[in-house]
Amino acid sequence: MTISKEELRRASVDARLKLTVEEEERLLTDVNKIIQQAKSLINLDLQEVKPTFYGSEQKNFLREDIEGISLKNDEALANAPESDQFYFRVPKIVEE
Amino acid sequence: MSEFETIIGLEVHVELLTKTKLFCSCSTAFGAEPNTQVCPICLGLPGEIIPVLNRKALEYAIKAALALNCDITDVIDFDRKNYFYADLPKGYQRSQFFNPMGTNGYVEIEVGGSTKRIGIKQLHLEEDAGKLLHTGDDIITSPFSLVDFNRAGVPLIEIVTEPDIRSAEEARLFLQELRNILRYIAISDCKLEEGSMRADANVSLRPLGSNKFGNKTELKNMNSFRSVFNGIEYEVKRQSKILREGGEVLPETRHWDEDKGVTKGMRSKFASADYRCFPDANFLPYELSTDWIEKLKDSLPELPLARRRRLMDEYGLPAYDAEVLTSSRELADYYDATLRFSPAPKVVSNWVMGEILRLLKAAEIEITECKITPENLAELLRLIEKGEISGKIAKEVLEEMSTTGEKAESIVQRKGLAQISDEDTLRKLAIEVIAANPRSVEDYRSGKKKAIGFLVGQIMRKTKGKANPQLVNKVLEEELNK
Amino acid sequence: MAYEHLEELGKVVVERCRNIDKESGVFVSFDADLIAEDMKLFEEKLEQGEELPLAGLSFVLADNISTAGIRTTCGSKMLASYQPLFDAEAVSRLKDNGALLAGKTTVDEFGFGVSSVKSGAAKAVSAGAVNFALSVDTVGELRQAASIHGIAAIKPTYGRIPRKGVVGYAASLEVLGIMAKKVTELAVILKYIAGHLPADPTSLIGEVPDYPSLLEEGPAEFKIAVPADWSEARGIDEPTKKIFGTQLKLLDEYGFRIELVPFSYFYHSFLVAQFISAVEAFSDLANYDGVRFGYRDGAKHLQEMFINSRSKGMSNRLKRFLVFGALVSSKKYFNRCYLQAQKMRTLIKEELKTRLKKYDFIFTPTVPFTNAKTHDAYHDSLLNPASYYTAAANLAGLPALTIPIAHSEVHMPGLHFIGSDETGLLQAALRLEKEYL
Ligand SMILES: [Zn+2]
Repeated sequence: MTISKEELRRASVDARLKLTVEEEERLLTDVNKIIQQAKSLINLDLQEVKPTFYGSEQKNFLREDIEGISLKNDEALANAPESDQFYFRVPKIVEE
Repeated sequence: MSEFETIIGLEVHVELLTKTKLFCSCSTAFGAEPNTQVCPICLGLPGEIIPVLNRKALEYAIKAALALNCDITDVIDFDRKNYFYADLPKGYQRSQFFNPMGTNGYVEIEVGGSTKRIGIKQLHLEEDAGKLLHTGDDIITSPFSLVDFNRAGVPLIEIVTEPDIRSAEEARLFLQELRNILRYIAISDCKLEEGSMRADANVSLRPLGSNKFGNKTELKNMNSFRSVFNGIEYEVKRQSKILREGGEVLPETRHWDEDKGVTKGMRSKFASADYRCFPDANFLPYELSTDWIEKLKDSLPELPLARRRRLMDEYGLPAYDAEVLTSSRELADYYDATLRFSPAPKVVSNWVMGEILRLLKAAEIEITECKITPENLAELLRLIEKGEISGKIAKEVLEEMSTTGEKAESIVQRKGLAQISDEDTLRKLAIEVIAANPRSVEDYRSGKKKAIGFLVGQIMRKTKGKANPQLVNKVLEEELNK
Repeated sequence: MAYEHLEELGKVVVERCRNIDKESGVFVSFDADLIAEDMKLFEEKLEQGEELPLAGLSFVLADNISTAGIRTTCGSKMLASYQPLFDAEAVSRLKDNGALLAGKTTVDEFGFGVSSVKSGAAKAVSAGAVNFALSVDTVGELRQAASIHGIAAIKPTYGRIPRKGVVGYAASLEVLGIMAKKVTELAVILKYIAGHLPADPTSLIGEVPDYPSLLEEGPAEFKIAVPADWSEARGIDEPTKKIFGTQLKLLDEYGFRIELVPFSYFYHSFLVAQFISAVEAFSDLANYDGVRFGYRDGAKHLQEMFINSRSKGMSNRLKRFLVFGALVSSKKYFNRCYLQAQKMRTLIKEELKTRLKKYDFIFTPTVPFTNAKTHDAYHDSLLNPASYYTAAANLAGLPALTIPIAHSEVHMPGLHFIGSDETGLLQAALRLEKEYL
């Protein structure tokens, strides 16, 4: 199992991150080293083992449908890089 | 006959009628100022990550799954569907990917006189995204966009059908039935125009007789039953043209343009096909108790299809009547309630479908706001039955009832609208009318039996329509034939 | 406690903080006026008869813990000017009980990994500028920093301290932990910040033990399991082998009955944690998109804005980690890498729990290398074995503790132990501390 540069590039687009050529090379090498280190684990037959996705086994509970306090508009927008009256502003959606 | 078979699957998103959002206590009320119903959780602010599930939203989702005949999951957990978009605060949407609320259900629709079952692959609970506003004319020319997160985190259920739908008409019928069911159980107002119900359609064609699916397109942006129908019709024509010309349908997302009446491909090189769904560790699993599910099952009202069938079987109503009367739970309840005071199902049906609906429409109100109580309607019908008022007068009385809420009898008395069924009084009037209209009398006696109508009309005029028509006819004939 | 002098004490704290900051750059946010104000407020409260059991104690926060109105940068350009609207729950609890927040300290970006340079919280405690610090432990960062700087730290059970306001990077692993010089201080602080918060269903339900009063209790002897192959750790250096090896012989004298016990899965825990934490980080850090807060870079369209903002707002080290996470959770590798790691986690957790039924604790070194320079050399690489001994506790949600081993050499590596509950860990740590001092 070897990860290709193409797969790595696809993943970085999905993570919305751009790596420099050197960083990309470095990551590709490291990733394949890690995969190599983990080879014995990856090949273990764990079909009967249930995954653990959570930090604890505590059971969850529900809240009632009762309105609480929301932020004021100026609080909501306080850290916004760009805002426009009541709104957050973003560059146009359509890619050209 | 086309050489292709149309295969349609629908994905329907429905906003639940909860007061607060799915994972935080922000209001879901419609129409607030932008970004005023938001908090650190639904804005996805750093370190403000932990969701607490709304009991009502879960209850509504369970009810919906039960009403659509689904198997119910025994554990509630949420998965993250990871993608980047301006209206998605956390970079992922919480949804039930691995353990949907309900699976393996169905909805029955009436197509061409027979019942067809549309499979429900799954129903799951998830959070809505925010709303984007485009300045300028449209999304394409807009130099930037504005984001309102008031809707972000509002509870949604997504209902995914099996690819069992075979035409635009079936799609429309399914959606109508689905909307009807969800309104019956009162979990959503299902307004397509306002976006509280949104339908996407997966459409593909295959040669008749083939059992392999062709490439499908996903149709979005259909905001009414009509646009669902038109959008699918258009897409079917577009795809069959491509296939007939030997081309290949591109699997893509297409938007329905209501104004132009076409579907358009929406391509983005960033559209991800890989959402990397995995369980959200911030939401520990919640165990559903079977007791609760049983309780909710028992609390479900009679659903539209069962109700239609009951109205037909129990009261002998025609299919059309049953359909109209069950088009909303409230109307059906009104009909059933009226029948508790009246022994005449078909008469009640005629009046509810006719006069009552007409009055509601004129006043632009719902049946629940109608001032005519079922009991009062039944009483009015009884007055007609007993011959105390005529049908024509009854319509007048009903109109009065609808504005004042008064009882029929009291209106009839107050306004002196009671039918004149006293034979002596009518005979006296008949004699007067015969004396005053010799020509009509002549005509009648010379064989033009229709001439009696004019004389009846004269009596009606004198009594302001209150005379009992059968009795008027009877005494007139007696006097004329003397 | 001589709380008549809180204001004077505030001045002492300011002085000490300034000194250590000058010496080795500890603070991201430090405001002497705010310290004076807070101390004045505490004094007023005390005069009004309010109880402030933590009055007189001062602390710092790693800068990935939210403070209302005080910049919380998470050590990232992404949040260079970000001001939270609320305090983290643990911070509110500390303030409500009279503890003084002295400042916000340097932290590796989003608390991912630990370098000696940026472990400001541990430095401040180690230098005696403050009594204790809060910091986030996801695969062992808190304990490693404490080990590097020769202090004690406790990583509590998952959910013991509410995470509200903690800016983490791996939701299923991260916990808030405490650093201090003394075990007693760990116990006192834990008592006041532990406990369920209804707004955080992942926080543990149930009563919080009165840790300080239980410290002197516990069995006369502890049964200890040491993973038989502890010395085969990836990256382990000779001093670590020597120091820990010597300890194993000494510990018996102190009432710790040591047994070398075979483990099958424990040794893979750092790799397993790396897969899981990377996938979670890819998703947990997806809200840094330049829309609602944080750094934004110019772009022609929305998706380009996401890429530019994130790529310029995050360091290369973090970016490589996130892309690694995106990679091993992609369709092709999802089952083989991510899901397989979550299954391995089950085995690791079961193994630890089985051992902890028979033994009170599992002892190891805290890090496989004693030298801070080695630590820093590995820091930039994804192939960093620093979490070799620490990550297992995070995978299993178990509590763990590190205390410095006393010996004559310059570096004081930590002794690490995993247990079933905080009370036991603190009791054992106190006993060791007495022997070491
Ligand atoms: Zn909210």
